[in-house]
Amino acid sequence: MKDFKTEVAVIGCGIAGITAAKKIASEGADVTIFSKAYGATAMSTGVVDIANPTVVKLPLKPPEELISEKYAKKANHPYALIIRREKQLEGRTAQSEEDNYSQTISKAVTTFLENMKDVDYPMEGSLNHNMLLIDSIGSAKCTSLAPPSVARGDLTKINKGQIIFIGFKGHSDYDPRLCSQNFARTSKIVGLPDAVEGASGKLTDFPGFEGRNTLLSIEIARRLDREEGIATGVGRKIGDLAKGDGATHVCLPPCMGIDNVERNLKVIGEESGLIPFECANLTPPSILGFRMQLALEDSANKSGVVIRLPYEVKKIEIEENNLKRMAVVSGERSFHVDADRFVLATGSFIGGGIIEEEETVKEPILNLPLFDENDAQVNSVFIRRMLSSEAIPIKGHPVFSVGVKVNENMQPVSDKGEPLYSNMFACGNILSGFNHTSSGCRHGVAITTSYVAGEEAAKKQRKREE
Amino acid sequence: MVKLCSAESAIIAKIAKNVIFSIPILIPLVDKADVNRGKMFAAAYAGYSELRKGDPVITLTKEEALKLEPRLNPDIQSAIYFREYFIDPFRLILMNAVDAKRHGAEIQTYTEVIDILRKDNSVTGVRVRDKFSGEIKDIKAKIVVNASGPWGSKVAKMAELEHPLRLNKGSHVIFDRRISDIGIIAKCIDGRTAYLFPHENTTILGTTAVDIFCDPDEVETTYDDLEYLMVAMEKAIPSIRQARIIRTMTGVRPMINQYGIIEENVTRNYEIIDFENKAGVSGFLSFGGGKLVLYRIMAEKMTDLICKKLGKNAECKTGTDPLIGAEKDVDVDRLATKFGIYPHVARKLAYLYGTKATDVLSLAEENPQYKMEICNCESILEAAIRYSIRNEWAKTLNDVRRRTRVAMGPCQGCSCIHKVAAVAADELNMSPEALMQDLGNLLQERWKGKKPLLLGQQLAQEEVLQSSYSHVPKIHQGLRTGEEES
Repeated sequence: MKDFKTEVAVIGCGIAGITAAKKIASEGADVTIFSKAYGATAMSTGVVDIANPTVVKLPLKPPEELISEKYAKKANHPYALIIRREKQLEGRTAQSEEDNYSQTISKAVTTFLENMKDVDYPMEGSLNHNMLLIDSIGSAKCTSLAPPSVARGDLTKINKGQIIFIGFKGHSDYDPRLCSQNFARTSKIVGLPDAVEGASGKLTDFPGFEGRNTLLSIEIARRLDREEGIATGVGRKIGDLAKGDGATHVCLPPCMGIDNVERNLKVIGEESGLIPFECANLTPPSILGFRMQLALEDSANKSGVVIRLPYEVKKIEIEENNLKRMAVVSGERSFHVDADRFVLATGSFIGGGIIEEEETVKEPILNLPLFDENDAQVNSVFIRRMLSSEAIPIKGHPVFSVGVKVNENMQPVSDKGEPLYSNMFACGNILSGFNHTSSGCRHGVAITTSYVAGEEAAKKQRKREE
Repeated sequence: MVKLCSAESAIIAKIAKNVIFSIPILIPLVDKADVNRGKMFAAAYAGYSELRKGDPVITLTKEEALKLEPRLNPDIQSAIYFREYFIDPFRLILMNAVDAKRHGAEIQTYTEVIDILRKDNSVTGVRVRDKFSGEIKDIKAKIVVNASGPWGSKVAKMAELEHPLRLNKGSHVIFDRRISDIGIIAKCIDGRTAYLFPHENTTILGTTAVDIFCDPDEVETTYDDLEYLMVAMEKAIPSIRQARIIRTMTGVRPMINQYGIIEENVTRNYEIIDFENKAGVSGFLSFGGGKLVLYRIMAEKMTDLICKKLGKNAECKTGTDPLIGAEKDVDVDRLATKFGIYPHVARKLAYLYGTKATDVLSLAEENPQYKMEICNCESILEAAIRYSIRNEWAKTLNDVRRRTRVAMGPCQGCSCIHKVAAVAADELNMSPEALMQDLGNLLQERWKGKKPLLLGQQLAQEEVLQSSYSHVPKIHQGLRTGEEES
């Protein structure tokens, strides 16, 4: 590939990067994505938390309400920025706290759902409802948007039912017996009505998987997709195991296919006589995350957005306070890419958008100033000062809130609040203002901030005042 | 002392043959002073190589040394090459416990001695608390042996006796893989020696020597401890900082109380204090000092003393009889074929369990799913986890970890602990409540070692773990209930 030019360069091919690129394309600008590798999205839970409650207890408040009541109340949370921008554009006073409903957030969510539907990976959910899912060890996981295979396990929507937990022998990622036992405890904690019961958990040899003692999720998924009769066999066995139990639903591991999940589950449902659903994914590897990544890539292709992978952006040259030219490396080749505008969607530590260097945090491409949850600049603060003594603190370790600070237009700013470069934007987990591990808005921040970053980055001209 | 250590090292290599491994070590010699020191070392060592049944010490040229380990700093004159034995300390202790039980001993874990019972000038037993139930009870004994290591003084005080020890902290840094197949020695800023040793699937860099005065439970690895080691090893392996640190590890040496000399010069010999002689109080014997290689001879001498006091006459066989599992070498290929497992998994089982590997795998005879691999970093099967619970006193997830090495690899449990938990819950019949708390305990214990030096890729790994578990209730230390608003 020779040195070349694109109008807008997006760095990062996760949920934030692709969502931003699609928005840019939809606004009529030419855009290319550069990414060095898969990051957090491909190994994520594959569901979008827009605004989870701190305490998961029924009834769950909807994301809309929680954004208004909780998230937007924190001045530097990305949602608060989005709302302020909206108010400024509409000429409303930024101080009107009562009205925290955001059209922008709503449009971002709708657009995301449309994009996914467009590539045959529809997701259910909305700003009006928070789902209650069971994860693979039986604890409660709240989320807003999920594929139907997972959404069918939304406990708030199952008014009456009995859930049986069934897993594959040799598949260590999901132990249905632990899940079933923990479900009973979880039910009490969240206040699930008695009408929704958990039945037993069973491990079994499914036809085609007999005698296997190490079974990976990817194999289960691929074989369900590609081999004749596998889904039927699974469904029949489930039916046999559930006979006489009174079960209505069956909770399965989150690997019921990659390309044909709905078809597989339909067959399983018909053969077993139960409603099957996938539980939420706990730790990587995550087939759900992988599916989301693939769907996002299909979605990018559909908009004519090219994803250059693996292409690592090493640094960006500056000319008169504008970003101008990227030095990119792919394998043994290196070359330059010129662009008019740039979007940084490089993620947090997992994707390498933020790294540790010399015991402190650093943004590796432009060495941007980084800020913590309290808007303090942390570029020389030792990492260990940003770690809690608790292993899993409820609020998360402070180091995972570190990121690039942006203004309402998603432009990275200095500690004085001034945009560092006029033609640069950032979105997703690279942003500060929320904890990337514990905030309850994972992927929600991505799809909303990328929508705004995309809208802004698409503009060919920017007014001086901005 | 060297003679004793060499002799014992050969004995341990025989009686615990499965958990012993030998690695070659290089001492790069940078200048003339080094070269002279090297010559003296070689001479001293050479005398004992036959005793320890090891290879002789040889001198390598710079070129030969660099060929063996290309990452070595080329600014050297020559290098010394010799071999040393290493061991898995958790398994060694376990094997001794199993052997003790076979000979009629009773092992009670999670049973804390909270007081030592005295009647006038006799120690008559101990008062213990069960850490799970909280139940307190008294146990009578003719003789109480204080083998509590760095807690020796604290325990002696319970009997109103004084056994001063000099406590000294040693820290290690652990890397995610084998950096080299040979051990490398380097010089620290204060002239002490640092070493980089391959250890099973990881590499350890050690060690420091800092006198401490707190309770050994309170020790922390500090940033200074670790920088001290990295600065030293950088001199021998300039690229060491590119290696991924997965955690730190700290222990406390219970040294004999020698005052006024630096740690390096404190004797590593052991002491057995008979308080009948020292303070006129019978029934209380206490260990001090020593080093790992002397464990057996220390125990033998203590037992000789106990036998004398109890009027028992028996021959000591611990130097000749192999520990359970170490009776003979295991044919790894045969093990793999017989049980239908991968050769590297068989190798791991043979290392951890020796001949008992067949017992572990036999659990899978009735339940083939026990051959499922639970920990991918360390290649540990479900059967091993269940075996440790059934036969090796494993009562918590941390116990399982120490015995099987789950969660001790590069991911530090990120991918496997919920799977280990599922197996343990089934085997121990734990309530979900208790299990989640235990999971929290395991994560907390792992965190203790990760936190001091969480850098580079390990920080990214930690982000994955945090994102995975942040929503799980009760996993947070302090048992916060779902009711609390933050």
